[in-house]
Amino acid sequence: MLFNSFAFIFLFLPVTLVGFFALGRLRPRLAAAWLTVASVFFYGWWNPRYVPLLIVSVLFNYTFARFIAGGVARRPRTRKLLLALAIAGNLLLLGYYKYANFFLGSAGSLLGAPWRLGDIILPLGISFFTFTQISFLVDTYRGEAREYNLVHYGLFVTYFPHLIAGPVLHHREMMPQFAQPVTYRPAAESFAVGLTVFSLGLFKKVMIADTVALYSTPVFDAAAAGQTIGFVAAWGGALAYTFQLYFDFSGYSDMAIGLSQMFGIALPLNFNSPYKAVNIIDFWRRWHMTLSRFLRDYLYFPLGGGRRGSLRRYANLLLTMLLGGLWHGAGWTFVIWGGLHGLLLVINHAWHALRRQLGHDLSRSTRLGRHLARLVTFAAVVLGWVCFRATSFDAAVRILKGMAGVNGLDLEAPPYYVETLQRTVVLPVAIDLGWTLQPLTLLASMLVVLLALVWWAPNTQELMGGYSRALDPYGRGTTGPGPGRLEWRPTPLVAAVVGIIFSLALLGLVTEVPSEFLYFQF
Amino acid sequence: MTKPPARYLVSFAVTLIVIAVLYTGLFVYQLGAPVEAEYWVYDVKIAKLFLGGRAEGERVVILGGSSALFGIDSGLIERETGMRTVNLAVHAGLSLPYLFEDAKPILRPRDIVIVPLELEYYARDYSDSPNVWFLNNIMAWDPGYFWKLGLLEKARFILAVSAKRVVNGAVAQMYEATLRRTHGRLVRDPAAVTREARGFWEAKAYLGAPAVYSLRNLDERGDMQNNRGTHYTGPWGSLLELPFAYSSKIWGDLESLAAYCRRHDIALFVAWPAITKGPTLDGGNPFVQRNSEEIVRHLEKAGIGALGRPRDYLLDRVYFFDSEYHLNEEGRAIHTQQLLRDLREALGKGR
Repeated sequence: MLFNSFAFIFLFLPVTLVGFFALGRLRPRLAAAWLTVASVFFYGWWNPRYVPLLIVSVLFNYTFARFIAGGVARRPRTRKLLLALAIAGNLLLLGYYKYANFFLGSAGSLLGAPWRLGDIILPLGISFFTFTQISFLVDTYRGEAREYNLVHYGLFVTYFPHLIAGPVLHHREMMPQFAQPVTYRPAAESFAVGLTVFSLGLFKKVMIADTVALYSTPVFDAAAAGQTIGFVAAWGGALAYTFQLYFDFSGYSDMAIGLSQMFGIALPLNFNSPYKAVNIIDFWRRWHMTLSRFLRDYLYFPLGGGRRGSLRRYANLLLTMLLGGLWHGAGWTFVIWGGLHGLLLVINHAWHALRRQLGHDLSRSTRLGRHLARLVTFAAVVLGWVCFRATSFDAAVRILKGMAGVNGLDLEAPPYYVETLQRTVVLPVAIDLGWTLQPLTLLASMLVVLLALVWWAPNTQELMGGYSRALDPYGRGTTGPGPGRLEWRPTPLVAAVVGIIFSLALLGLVTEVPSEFLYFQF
Repeated sequence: MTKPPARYLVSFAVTLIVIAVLYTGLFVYQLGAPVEAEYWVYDVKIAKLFLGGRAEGERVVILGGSSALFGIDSGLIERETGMRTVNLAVHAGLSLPYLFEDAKPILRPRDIVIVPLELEYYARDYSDSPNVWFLNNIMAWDPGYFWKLGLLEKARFILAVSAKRVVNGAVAQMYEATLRRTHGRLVRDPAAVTREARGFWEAKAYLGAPAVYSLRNLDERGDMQNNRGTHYTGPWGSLLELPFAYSSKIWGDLESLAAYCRRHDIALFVAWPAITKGPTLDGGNPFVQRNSEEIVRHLEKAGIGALGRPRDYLLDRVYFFDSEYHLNEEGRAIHTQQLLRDLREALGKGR
């Protein structure tokens, strides 16, 4: 079931909310169990075949966590062995479903053998619920996990707002909320804030991401089909995808946070205007923040982080980002993308180190310098997205060549691009009436508006100001003060504006088969 | 909160209601707008309903999509059976309930109704989710259909139309005169359509090959004429070769028609469209056999007779005119002969 579907918005959500708060009046644990069951139902709606897999995964990890916590294993070596077994179990599951064919295929192509394990359907959200549970196991081993209530644990893993595409939750920030009786009491304020954040997310997904996708998909499809990509189409497609992914993921994150807020449960922020980043380090503190946190705490730090000298630090960074890339998908394009970001992070850190050695104050910068830094960072991110989106290395190279002007600097768009855009973007009656609407003019205008939005407009948590209860995964004050007059207020006028935004998004959903969020595939 | 959140929520809900009302208003406003659609279907449908209404005696009535519009030789059936034959088939984009509702006032006791449905009818779910072609065309040339629907069906209809189509229709409505004049998107009075049709039926003045899809190529039994030669260059293949999922509504729709026919002493048979012969259709593809048997099994369960089997209706590509469903004149004769053989056999078993 998708957040952007009528079945979810008008059936699943109201029924789950009513059941949750009705049972919460009787017994909080019943309400938590209800929410767990509803979450599993939500998961099973997509493909019931994988519900047992999810349940077994939850029970497997919970059982191991109990053992590791000391109930059975008291000797440190036994506990370590249990942890290793449990993590191996998780990685084997993830490896089979997500990477088996990739590694077999890659090895087979090197050896000239067509190795393949048949068609393995990737269970939705497996990367997310695997990571969530690995962090719980590790923290249990470290003695940092505090609660072992099965219902709360089951809810922590399966909780539907995050189950499919994150945020990657941490038990420390979720389990205590499930244990508080106040969570199970309805609060109109919480609901109003959640509804607002959800509406903004829905609008971003349906009205912006899905629209701008019409401009990016034909270009990447053409590249995948082996066509030569010209300058305009290459940049148009790459930039359109850059905004598609941004508004898709930002929209999803807002919807997840808003939904959870309706239940009175705060989720961590996952997205903090990443295109406002002034360097790649900054970008990764703003993009998919909970994944960055997970990779930092459970991969980069255990590898040694920056504690063993600069070279080791750069190697750790590179490895973390390569694995982070592979986490996004079983394909070499994801590995290249992860490697590219790893390399950029290394350069970024080395540059900072050099400046520090030269006695520069890194906290000081000029306005022009910040704008330039933002532009350069944005350009690097766009190039990275080409590898991320392309279906093959060759397709990525075709688009990058087009962007570099290797195929000429012709400003005319190719016919396939114009025809597709006319079919998908322009109203047919406008063509009938002879109105000369140039799809490329529309594209250029749209890109300018979207760029202005992502660079200068306040983001959702800034708009919500002090009303937002979203958690700050880094504790660095990402939820700052509201943007003055633009700050959200619970007035009838603001409600009407949000109502219009919500309605427009719903109208965008009418008849269209709800499109999946891009992060579902990861 | 500085204001009671309840007021915020009420204002939000009121906004949704206001926008829903405004959107419904816009939807109603654009009904009948001259958007791009297949207006010839309307003309042909009106002419066929007129033919069905005037045909006397015991009759063979054909219902279906354009496969039957092109693939049935009603004159041949008439000569062989001695019964008046009316071909009401028009376009496979029209939903089964729509076809049936149009046909019911025309059907009479002792009619034989033959329904050679395109295979897509078994896989598409018109009732649950009407297809884009159907919605677009009905809104363009038969908005009255929308008003005949029940309240819930109306809501479903509105929700099945994309907002982009509604806005497109609204703009077209604003420029109605221009579009009707410059693009010839006319929805004429039914009397005018039948008057025109009768004129050239009497003169047998068909329009000719280039503009096949026109009322001016329809003969006085409802068959489309001027389907000569082999012009189709698109992909070949049949749904029978694929593991398609059956529509959840098709059997219900057919059962409903069967019940109606039983109540009115009408014989109902489901037949098969012309299917292109291909390497996998001739044999070897496991889905062909399975799909055919599945359809027949459902029909038998519903008490509906089937005329032959899909494998009996395979034809070489040279017999197809401009699509993998539209037969040319030679193909039509072969297809109709097979249909007649199966009809005789079915009638021989006792009607």
